[in-house]
Amino acid sequence: MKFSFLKRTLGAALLGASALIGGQGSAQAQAYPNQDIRFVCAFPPGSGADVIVRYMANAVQKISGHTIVVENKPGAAGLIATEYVVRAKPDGYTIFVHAGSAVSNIPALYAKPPFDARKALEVAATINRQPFMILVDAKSPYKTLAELTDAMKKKGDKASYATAATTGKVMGEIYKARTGITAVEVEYKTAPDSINDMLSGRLDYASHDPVFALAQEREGRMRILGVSTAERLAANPDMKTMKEQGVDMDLTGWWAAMVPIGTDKAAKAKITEWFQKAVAMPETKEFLNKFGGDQLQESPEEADKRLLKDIDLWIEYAKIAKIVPQ
Amino acid sequence: MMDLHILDNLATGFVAAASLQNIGFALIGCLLGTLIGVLPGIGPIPAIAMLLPITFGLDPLSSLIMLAGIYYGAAYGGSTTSILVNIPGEASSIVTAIDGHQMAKQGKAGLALSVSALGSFFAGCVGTVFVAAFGPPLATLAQEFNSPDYFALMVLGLAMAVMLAHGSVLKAVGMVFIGLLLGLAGTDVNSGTQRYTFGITFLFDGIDFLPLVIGLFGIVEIVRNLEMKEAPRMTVVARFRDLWPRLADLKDAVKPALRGTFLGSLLGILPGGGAVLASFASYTMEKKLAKDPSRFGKGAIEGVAGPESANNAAAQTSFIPLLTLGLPSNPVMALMMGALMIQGLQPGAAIMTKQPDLFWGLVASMWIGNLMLVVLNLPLIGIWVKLLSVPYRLLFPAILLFCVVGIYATNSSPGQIGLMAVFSVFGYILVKFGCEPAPMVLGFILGPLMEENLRRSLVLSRGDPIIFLERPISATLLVITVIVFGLIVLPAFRRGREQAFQEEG
Amino acid sequence: MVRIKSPQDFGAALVFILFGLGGIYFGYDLRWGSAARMGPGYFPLVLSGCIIAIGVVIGARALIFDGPSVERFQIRPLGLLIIASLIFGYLIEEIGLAISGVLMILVATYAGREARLKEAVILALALTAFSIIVFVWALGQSLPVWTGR
Repeated sequence: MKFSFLKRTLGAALLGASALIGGQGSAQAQAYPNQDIRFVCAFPPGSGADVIVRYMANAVQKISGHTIVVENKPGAAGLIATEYVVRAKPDGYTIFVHAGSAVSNIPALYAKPPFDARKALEVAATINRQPFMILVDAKSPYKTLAELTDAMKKKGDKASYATAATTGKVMGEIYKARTGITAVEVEYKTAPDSINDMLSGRLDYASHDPVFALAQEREGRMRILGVSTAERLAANPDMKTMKEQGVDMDLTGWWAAMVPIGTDKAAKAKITEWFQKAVAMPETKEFLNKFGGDQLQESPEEADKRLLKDIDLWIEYAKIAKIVPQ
Repeated sequence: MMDLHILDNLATGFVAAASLQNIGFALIGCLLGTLIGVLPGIGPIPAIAMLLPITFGLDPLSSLIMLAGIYYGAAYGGSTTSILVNIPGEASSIVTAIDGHQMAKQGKAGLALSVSALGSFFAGCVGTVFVAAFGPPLATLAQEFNSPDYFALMVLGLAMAVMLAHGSVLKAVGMVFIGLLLGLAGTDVNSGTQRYTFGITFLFDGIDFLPLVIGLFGIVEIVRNLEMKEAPRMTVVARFRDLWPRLADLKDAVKPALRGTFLGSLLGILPGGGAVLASFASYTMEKKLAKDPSRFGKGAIEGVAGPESANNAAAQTSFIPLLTLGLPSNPVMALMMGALMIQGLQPGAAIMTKQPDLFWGLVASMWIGNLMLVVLNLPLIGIWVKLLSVPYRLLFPAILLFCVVGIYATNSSPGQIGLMAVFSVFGYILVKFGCEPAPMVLGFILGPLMEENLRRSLVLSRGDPIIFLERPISATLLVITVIVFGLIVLPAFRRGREQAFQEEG
Repeated sequence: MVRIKSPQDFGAALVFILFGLGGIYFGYDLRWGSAARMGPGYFPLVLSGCIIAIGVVIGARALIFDGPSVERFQIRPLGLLIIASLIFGYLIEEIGLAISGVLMILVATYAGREARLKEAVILALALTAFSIIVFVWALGQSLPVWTGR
């Protein structure tokens, strides 16, 4: 069927009709799922994050045989969507497909967040993990991280580097703290905004997300010198980690399917099962690798622990990066 | 033989794109885009975002073709609402609304709409050829723009924004500054600090464009009409031939359209504010070139033909950075990039070399989309104009409903409707005190970009402002700014002195 | 005794000055920074200062040169339109688009001079139905229709 909206319309009409016939109460009695499931995306349609959410929606729809609707709630770097999911009914029909690492940095970034991130969401299934990356202009003489570090030490505070996201800021600060270089940070709204300044030689290096970094390397414009995860990823086995090049760090972004805390156990188990199947598919591996990440298959319990541990880590990172909660 | 290559390539593109099925998708896309875009309260960007999922099930080329159709349709639908009911759905239609809506009030809505459609079509054709012929070299040029150059470009843009007002220059300058300040509300890019957000979550990303313009323009317009002693009646032209431009009208419109197309094609390739600047750079130019600039703001046909052409030419060339560098230059292009990625394509130079039919097919589809737009909309103009003959007491509640539903549907936040209410009160006060909102909205759009690039440039130069004069691009732009500002201020100054002498005499 | 010769400009001057003062008052605890690394407060405060300065100049000129008077402010049309939109904004999440849309249009029609109850009811029902069909059914937007969220 080519027109998905038509299908959705018909589906909604039928559902509406059946709800009218069956009455309101019976919806609860039937087994989950008996209505459309919503995947909430924290970024606008067509954004990089939306691409991932829609991929997962498609995969889970095939596996579960139920209609999945992607709902975009962009704004405030994901805070609006997170708040929306936190406030949703814990019935398993609202699933937040988002970076778990972005939920865990909320206490570090906001002085008065609208909810307590430790007690707001639980993880139903993990999806991927991905690093941030240090990049230089492909025309620059630096072929390894060590060469860059040496040159930056000589350049002192005349050196500059670009960042565009919180993780990038943190990676840049840890790199400086561990090596003693004193380069000045230049903040951009999005990573692509920094390209022109980078290619004109105003900036010495940059700390950016893998989607941007890989695209730039593919186009031959920039070179990746190090990734922020502690171990190399299967997606890019040739890329050296910062850690193995003597700069100790382990910054891992990870995506997950999250639900409001206290979500119905049976419903959550179903969601976990669907996502685990979807993540295990070879197409998913290929898809995720394209974005510079690996599949991440953890149990919901492990993932909940990861979320809590990340919250503490982020508070520490924020201190290193001198980020003051707003 | 550069030229032959282009022809060859375009031929490849048309063979790929011009199947009956694809033309059908272009037509459906255009129709849906127009129908959604014409609802007041839904600007082109929300319209495209709402319609985007329809294209996901199609094969890549058909999906792009339909999307291009939706894009042009939504943009044209947005111009239609700005002309008919003075509700601009995006930054560039603010300029169209200034003279377009005045034309509608004088019973020339059909003329304004058809000039806008024909100008857009012409500009679309030129823009497409531009993309085909000079895409890659122009993209390289756009890459030369560094932070200081963007700052200088924004300053030039603000100087031109003053020209959008037809009253006092000093008030217009003040309005630009107010707009700049409003634009800064939200989370500061450089430090993550929240400014003027009062702890309200939906303000963290800054004030939304739609509640702002709908409040300032849409609601204030309704209130002004309701305040009139008699129910406002638009002079509606019944005869069909009056919907079309006469030869004399065309003569007035041709040169502005040509100049607008040129400006738009150039500015469109710049990321950030490029395409927005195009429409009001064109307006500024026409107002300066006109024998009688006082006609502007009172329904000058040049004030519609120029900016609409510029806008559409820029819409074409803003594909250049996306297709050749993989960089989206504005929110619409970011949506397009997402659509490409959902189709499994990575935008960038590789598309052109590895999938030439897709690349050239897309270029061809731009032209097809523009053609569909004219074919579809010229007959529709009659219907749009007829809408104005609906009694106003029935029309205005409908406009209000679409505005609030549109705002709510775009981001599901009731607070945004409150924000719209705030801006309608503010806009009402401004109108009563003779302040025009158009320069303010442009300040609002350019403000964040200007501050961001100013601060970034000074970080890069460690605080030395010489950075703006060192770079040839920014130095040139700043010199042009001084000239433009001089051209604006001198006549006003002279008038002020005359006034002063009259007072004394 | 100073006489205001151009009330319209004088009003504009007041708006500018108040806006600028507001900008300073609410932006005053933002970090100022230095030219080399401007803080978040630098640009807003400079802008607010410029707005006030422009307001002062306009105000001074309004005392010297004659200018147009201010049209009368009419509370009813604007007031009712705003009440109507706020009714919609604050009820849609409670009782859904269908009822809040109808209520909004009923209130809004009375912003005009020639409102008629029967016509308003028909209009309200028709427009609300239309917007439900377009936004919820055809475009698949997730708006609450019959119940709140």
